[in-house]
Amino acid sequence: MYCSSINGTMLLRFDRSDADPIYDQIAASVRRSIAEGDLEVGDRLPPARELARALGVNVHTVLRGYAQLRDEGIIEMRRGRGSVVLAGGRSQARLRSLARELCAEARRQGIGIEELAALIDEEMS
Amino acid sequence: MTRVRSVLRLVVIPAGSLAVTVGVPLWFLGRLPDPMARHWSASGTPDGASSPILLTALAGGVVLVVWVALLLVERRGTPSSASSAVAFFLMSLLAVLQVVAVWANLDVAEWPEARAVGAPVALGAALVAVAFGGLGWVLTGSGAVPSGPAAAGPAPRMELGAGEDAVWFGMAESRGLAVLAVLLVGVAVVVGGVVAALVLVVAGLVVFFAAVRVGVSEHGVEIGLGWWGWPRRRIPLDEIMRAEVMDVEPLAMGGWGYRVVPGSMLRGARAVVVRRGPGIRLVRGMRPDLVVTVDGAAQGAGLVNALLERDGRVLPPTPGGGD
Repeated sequence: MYCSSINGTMLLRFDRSDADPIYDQIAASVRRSIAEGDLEVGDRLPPARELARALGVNVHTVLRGYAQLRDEGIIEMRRGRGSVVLAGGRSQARLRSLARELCAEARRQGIGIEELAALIDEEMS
Repeated sequence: MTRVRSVLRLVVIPAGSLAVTVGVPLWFLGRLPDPMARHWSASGTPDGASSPILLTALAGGVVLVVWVALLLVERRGTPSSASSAVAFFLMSLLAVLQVVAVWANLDVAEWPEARAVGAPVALGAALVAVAFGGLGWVLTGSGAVPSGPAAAGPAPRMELGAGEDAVWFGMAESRGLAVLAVLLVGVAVVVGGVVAALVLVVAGLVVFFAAVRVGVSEHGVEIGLGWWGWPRRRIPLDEIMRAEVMDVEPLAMGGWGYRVVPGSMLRGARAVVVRRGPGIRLVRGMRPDLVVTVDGAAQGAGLVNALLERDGRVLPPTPGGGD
């Protein structure tokens, strides 16, 4: 998934073969585009109802994806004012995105959690 | 002849409106109560009052703003019959209402004793204003209409992977129309009564066309009016042949709002116009084309074309895209 925003417009891409639930995909897409600077601080995500209609999913599915981002401190959800990217969101989103990518790659190579943890440990020290 | 018309349209009538709006109340200031009645209930009895000076300043200010707007449009070289008509309507309406207010308040001791102003008088005032609007339309003439819509642009295409899906959201908004709506509400507050209701209806319509939201997905293209995106309409993908980017010139599309484009250039296309600038043109087979102004039009049109292509629709080779 991938998305980008130019002054009020927003493109969301996602992989139909992705096995993750839709709400995870939505959150991941927004995270990645924030990390890559396509979505900036103060940018507004599309209204959940609009996105739900476009994706053909329930509005609660979208809200669940947004809520995930809110809990990670990436966006702020305000009633009536929509969901806005927060100032601290960028670094959060970047870290999450990288972790997600790392885990996906490890899975592909059949590397277990312990081996991965050892690798991280090695890199950190 | 054209020069006489221009002077009438840009100087004489606006100046006349301003003179009446401000001059009449000031001339009779000594014979008006302070405060004077400025608002009448539906049954015709006065139910609101304010200082004659304040009322005159407000009404005169609005006429002045409309006049300046008229001149600005002229300076940009984009006068239209519609813009002159709206300007004349507003200016003459204020002038006539000032005259009505002064007549109703003349020589009365206190504002509640002011003469009744019922629906017939209000309607008469509105008719006079409509007549002036018509005059503005006629005076502008056909020579001022710009040279037709911009040529249809290319049909961009977005890369979409085999298993990839995408949705796109875009919007366009017009600060000018938003300001106009606020201005109209202001006019309604000043004039009051039956005419105010009419002006408020117009203000409401303007607000709906001050913004538009567009969504593109595999379910089609969704167009919603206003910042809230309602009422909205969905055009299924299988009704669309291709999407093009075009530079929308409102005056060539017949104005702002929901339009049936005049002339043969776009074959009677329907258009949602909130501002000048880029828009998406959806070319449909049997039905009229649909044009909508939106920021990031290239990206939106690109996704429409990518989705069409994925569905196995062969897009005709563009650029130029003429019919």
